[in-house]
Amino acid sequence: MITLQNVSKVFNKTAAVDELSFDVPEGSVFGLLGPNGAGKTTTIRMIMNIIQPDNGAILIGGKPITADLYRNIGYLPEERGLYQKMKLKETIIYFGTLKGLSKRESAKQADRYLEQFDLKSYADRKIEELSKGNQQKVQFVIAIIHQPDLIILDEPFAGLDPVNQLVLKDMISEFQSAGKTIIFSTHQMEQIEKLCSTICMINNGKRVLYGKLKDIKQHYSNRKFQIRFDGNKEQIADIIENGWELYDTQLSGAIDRNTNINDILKKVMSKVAISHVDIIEPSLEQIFIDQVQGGIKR
Amino acid sequence: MRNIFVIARWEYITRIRSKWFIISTLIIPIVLAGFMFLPALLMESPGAEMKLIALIDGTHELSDRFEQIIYDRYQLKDGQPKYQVIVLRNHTVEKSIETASDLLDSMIIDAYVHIPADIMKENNVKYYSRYLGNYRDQDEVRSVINSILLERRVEDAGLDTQLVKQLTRRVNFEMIEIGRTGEKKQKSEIISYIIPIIFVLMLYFAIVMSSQVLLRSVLEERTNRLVEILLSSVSSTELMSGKILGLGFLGLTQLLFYMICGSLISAYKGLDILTSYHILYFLMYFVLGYMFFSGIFSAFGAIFTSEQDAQQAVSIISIISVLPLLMSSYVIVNPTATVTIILSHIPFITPFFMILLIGMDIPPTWHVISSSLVLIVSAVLSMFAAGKIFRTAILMYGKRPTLPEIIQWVKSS
Repeated sequence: MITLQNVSKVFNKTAAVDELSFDVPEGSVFGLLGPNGAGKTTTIRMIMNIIQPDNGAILIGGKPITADLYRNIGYLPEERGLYQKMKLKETIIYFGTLKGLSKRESAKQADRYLEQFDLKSYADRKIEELSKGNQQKVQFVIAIIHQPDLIILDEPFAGLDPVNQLVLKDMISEFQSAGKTIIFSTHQMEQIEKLCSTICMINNGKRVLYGKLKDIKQHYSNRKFQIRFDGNKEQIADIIENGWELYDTQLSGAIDRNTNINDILKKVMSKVAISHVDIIEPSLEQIFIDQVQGGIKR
Repeated sequence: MRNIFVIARWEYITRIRSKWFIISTLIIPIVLAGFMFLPALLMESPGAEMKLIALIDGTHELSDRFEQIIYDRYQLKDGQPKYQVIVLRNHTVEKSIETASDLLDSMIIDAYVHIPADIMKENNVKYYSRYLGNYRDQDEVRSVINSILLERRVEDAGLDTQLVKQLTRRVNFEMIEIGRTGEKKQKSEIISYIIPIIFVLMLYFAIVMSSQVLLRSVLEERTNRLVEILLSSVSSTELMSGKILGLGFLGLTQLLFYMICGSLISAYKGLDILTSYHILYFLMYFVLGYMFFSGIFSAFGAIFTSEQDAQQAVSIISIISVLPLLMSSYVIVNPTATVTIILSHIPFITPFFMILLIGMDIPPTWHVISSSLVLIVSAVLSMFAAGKIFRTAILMYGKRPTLPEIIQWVKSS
């Protein structure tokens, strides 16, 4: 759907984005992650054609971006504001018409989403009367009012309470099942793990991790296993490898990606009775921290 | 094109129904009317209170006649005499003056008049008051004394008082101004002085206020970052054009409202205050002046990050452009002076000076053309530069660009 090829952007002689390439598959939920100042927002602004890249190309559906393609993109910027003095519904309708909807169609969609987000009673109120969380919902509605096929959400969960985070997550799942492509940037790993199929992690404008979430986890896995057993620990003492730990009824250790856990289990099973097995996957957060700190060390 | 229209309509509709716009549009004619007519009304209307005046008559002969005339001539609204005269007759004139100043100091009397014994020869009268600002009272007292002395002199010369009164009666002074087309217009002096100033105010408020609204609108979208959503939907040129167009119509609405008010007043007063010829020039100078100012103001909106910052720069421009107001009395007296003509070619001032001169029917065709050409060129340049600055600066946050940087943007394509 979207392809970035060696995209760079320099601000005041420092590279905000440095030779960044990635590909967002159609219908995927794509996570753009990185610490603050990594270049996520700059990347998104370049995709949105708000700023131009100094180098590289951004293609949508294989074609260079043009103005009419934007009719098909919904964008929720990281830093958000609204016309505080304006009424809720008319503001939504205005942004709908700017995205090419007719006034009537825009009003229809506005009604639909106000209902869905439980904002109907505020339709004719001024935006300043809404709570912050509700204002964020309005901004989300503005981003999707024109039914885009591609939705770009910059830190969408920031500042939302748990209930509204859930509402937003349901929305994203709904879009996903409707076949829409979603890019979202965040530093909240937990959300990415639950929602994204593909991720790109950047730090200091450079790509540090990229690929299917599953593959990345496997690739970077320092997976750990934990086996509890009934029997004498001396019986399995001879299968212990370097770095494993053996206690009275428990064996634990790390497995690298070349090792199949089944092989270990077979060996243990042949000597003692296994009562419990745990395989602990590394969290994305851990990978993230490792990568970012590794980056600083480098 | 559609986007420009959508933005223009939004800007126009959301502003025109704002309380702020309605109040500021209505308040200006009201305040103006207040400024124009209130002092006149206050001065025209007879004072509501009776004034107490002490008279020290060195001749001992004139006081009766003084009282008689002043009671006859000046009355309050309710028919009571305006002045109550106390004639002081102490042993000596010096003693009387002493008493009078005591009375004045203790605020019992408002003024006292000393007519010396040698008045017929020396022709000198002294008027004492705590406050000389009320020239109306002084005029009236002087006029009464003049009348008495004239009578006395006529009598002394053995002439017929009635005949002399007949012969020396004052002329009725009616003022008529000849317009450009040669027709005679009957105007009072005050109106021909005030009309051009009102013209300038009308144009000034329409142009400068809508430009300020434009500035605030750009700043608002920058500070609440809505500009990102907008620029992901429309181009920066469309955004700027839409805003300028929408708020231009806002200013035009205001101007039309003022012109309708003006026409109603003209019709009511039976004067040719606002002719179709004036309206045409108003529209022309509004469009050109607004183009020039809105370019500058929208660039300011894109450059500055806070309203306070921008407001300082804007107030400088506003002061320059209000110069025609401050200088209007000079221009009205010297409409063809070189200074007037030179200043009218400075684009910040041109629309206001020209409408001032047009309000007076003064400028020759060449002057209108040459100053308009300067304004047209400036307006086009202002739009062009603003477009470039706007495009570059609108998404810059944190650091305010320096002047050389701005110049660089304008030069680069």
